[in-house]
Parts: sequence; structure tokens; C-alpha cells
Amino acid sequence: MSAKRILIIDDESDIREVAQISLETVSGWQVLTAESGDEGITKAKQEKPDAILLDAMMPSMDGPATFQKLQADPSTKQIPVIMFTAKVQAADRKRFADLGVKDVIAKPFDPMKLGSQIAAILGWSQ
Amino acid sequence: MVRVTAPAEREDETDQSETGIEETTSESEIKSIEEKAKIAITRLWARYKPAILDRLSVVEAAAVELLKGSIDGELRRKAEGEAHKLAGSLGTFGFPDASRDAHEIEVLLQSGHLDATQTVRLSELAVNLRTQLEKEQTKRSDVHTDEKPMMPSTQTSIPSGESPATQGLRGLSVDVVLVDDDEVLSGLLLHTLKTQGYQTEWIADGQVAADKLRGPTPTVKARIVVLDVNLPSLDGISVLRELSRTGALKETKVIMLTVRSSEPEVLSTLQLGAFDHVAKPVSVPVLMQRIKRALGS
Repeated sequence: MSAKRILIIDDESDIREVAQISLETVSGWQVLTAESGDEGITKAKQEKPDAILLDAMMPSMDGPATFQKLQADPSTKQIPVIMFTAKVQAADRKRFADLGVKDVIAKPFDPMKLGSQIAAILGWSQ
Repeated sequence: MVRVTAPAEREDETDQSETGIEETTSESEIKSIEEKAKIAITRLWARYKPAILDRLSVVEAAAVELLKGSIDGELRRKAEGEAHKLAGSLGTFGFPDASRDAHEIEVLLQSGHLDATQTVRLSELAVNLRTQLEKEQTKRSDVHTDEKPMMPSTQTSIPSGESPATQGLRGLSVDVVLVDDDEVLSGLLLHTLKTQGYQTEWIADGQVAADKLRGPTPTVKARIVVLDVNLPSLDGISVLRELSRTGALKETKVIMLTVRSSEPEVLSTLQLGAFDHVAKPVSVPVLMQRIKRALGS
């Protein structure tokens, strides 16, 4: 599989860095990071990543609000988004699915499996 | 340490029909990549551990306030948020048990009023969390890293209030004096002792403890002194020596809280006149049983 470019939007720097190490080292992908919804939207517009891993709980603009802004912009609408969250109750899953996110990856996550989880969700062969 | 996906779980770009030698090389490469990731994450953990312990301090502060009987909404919400982040971070860094404890704390804080049992449970979880994090360094010996080991934190932060060193010592006879500077553990033990009807005092400083407890007619007369070894100002062994030298042990039994429970350390405390010792991390039920035994004997 060709190297993918992933944008991680998460306000928790430790989670962001572990995910970055995981995707860069284990999966061999390029990783962009943003620590807020606003920064993430800007980078998504500029960089057009192959997918976005989006934290659900962030101060200021949370994951769902960020997702809706991405969807409202024609330049980012087609970028698949996976919600990254500790809240994986059935109701949350349905709420995220109704919004249009591709799927949910739960925190805590296994750094050795993160890339394969993303690839499986998005149908990328590995 | 970081959980490692078995190589078989990750398909490789190498054509599986290739020779066995090449497949072996591929597996070796995968292991090497995973090892590289593990090392990088271990280094990251060393960098983030102080921040994660700070998050835990907020949870501990909430536990202390809850043990005192009330907590303001802002601290509760902050502690809930920190517990949430702890659950995610600790699990991701490879501490599933600690992550579960943090999640349980988050759920407890999300519930409405906490009853006494839930408050004690939350405090026990906070104590367990710190114990796990302070012990984790030894568990990571399988991964080489040139990062220096993190020094365990020995002082929890607490909300403002009566400090242990200035807490009123009123010259009363009490059942148990707890001498320990760990605010959360002390809060938990004192809460448990009080709910079982014991009169208690808390001293968090070794020199203060020696001053108040020494001599045949001490300022604070205790039936039992639970005495930690690692204390500010004066260590627990020196406090015990002072109590022994001044005759305080004729009326008072001392239970030492020892970190390592090494034979020389335990022997020295017993030779100095300690009645018993309990190893840290402390099991509250075990310590309560030892206190009851000491009071009854």
C-alpha cells in the first residue's frame, strides 16, 4: 500500500504523539497533527490528507463540531474522518454514525494496531 | 509496556509466496519496527510521566476533599476530566490496569452524591494509581532506553486547608496517630479508622511526630502509632529511635510502614521496639487488621 497521509486532530499532546509514532513507525505513513479543531480544519484545507483521526472531546470546538465544519467545506468534505474517542457507548457510536463519520476508534488504543484499524475501516489494503 | 501485535496479525507487503528465508527476514523487520516504536513510546512516556502525575494529583485532591466530606463542583469536574484523560493516556501507554482504575474514578465522579463506600473506593483507586505509576519503572526493564529513570513523586498536592504540620494537636489521648506525608493514603486510612470509631490524629512530619510523641508523658498520647519510614524533616526510623530512647514505647505500640520490607529494615525496626510492620503499598484491610490486633493485645 502506498504511504498514506493522516491528519490527527487531538488536544492531548501525549495521545497525539503516540499516535504519530505509531502511524509513522509501524505503518510507515506520513502524519500531520493539529491540537484544535480550528487548526485541524486549516491543515485539512491546506494538506488534503487521505484521512483524519479526530478527537471527539476537545475544548472550544469539539470533534462533532469540527466534523460538521469539514463537511460544510467542499474542499474537505470528501476526506474520510474517523472519530477518536473514549466514549464508545452505543448511543455515541450512533450519534457519530448519523453525523457521517466513517467509524470510531476507541481510546485507549493499541499503538501497534492503530494503522491496521484505520486501514480496515477505510478499506485500504495493507 | 506497549502491547505488541503479533507479527501474524499484520499483513506485510512482502509476497507471502516468497521463500521461507525472505519471510523470516520480513518477520524480523516487523519485529524491529515494532521494537523501534516501543522504544520511542517508552521515551515519550518518560517525558509525559510528570504531566500525567500532575493529572493524578488533581484526582487525589478530589479524593482528599471527598474524604473530608465535601467537594466543590469545579474541582469535581476538573478531576473527572483528568480521570478521563488518564484513562486514555495510561491505556495507550500500556497500563491497562491503571487505565481501568482511572476510568472507574471517572465514572464515580460522574455519578451524583458519593456515599461513604464509594468515597473510600475512589480514594483506594487513587492510591492504587499512584502506586502503579511509581512502580512502573521496574516493569519496563525489558525495553532499553537511555532516558534516566523518573524519580517517583513523594508528595501529593492537596487543596488548601489545615496542613498536617499545623493540625491542632490538642494533647488528647487518641487511639491511633498516623505519621505519614502521603495525603491521600492518610486521608483514606483516617477516614476508615474514624468510621470504625477510633480517635485519630495525623502528623505528616517526622520531627513534629518525634516532638509530640516522645517521652513518658507525651503531648499526644497514642495507643498505636502508624509510622511511615520516609518522612520530611526526620525519617521514621529516627522517630522510632527517639520514641524508644525516651520511654514512649512503654505505653504506645508502633506499626511501621516500610517501603521495601527488606529483612535488615524490618529487623532494625523490631529491634528498636516496633510492635509490627506493614509493607507499602499498603492494603487498607490488612493494616486495619494489624491495628485491631495491636489494640487488642
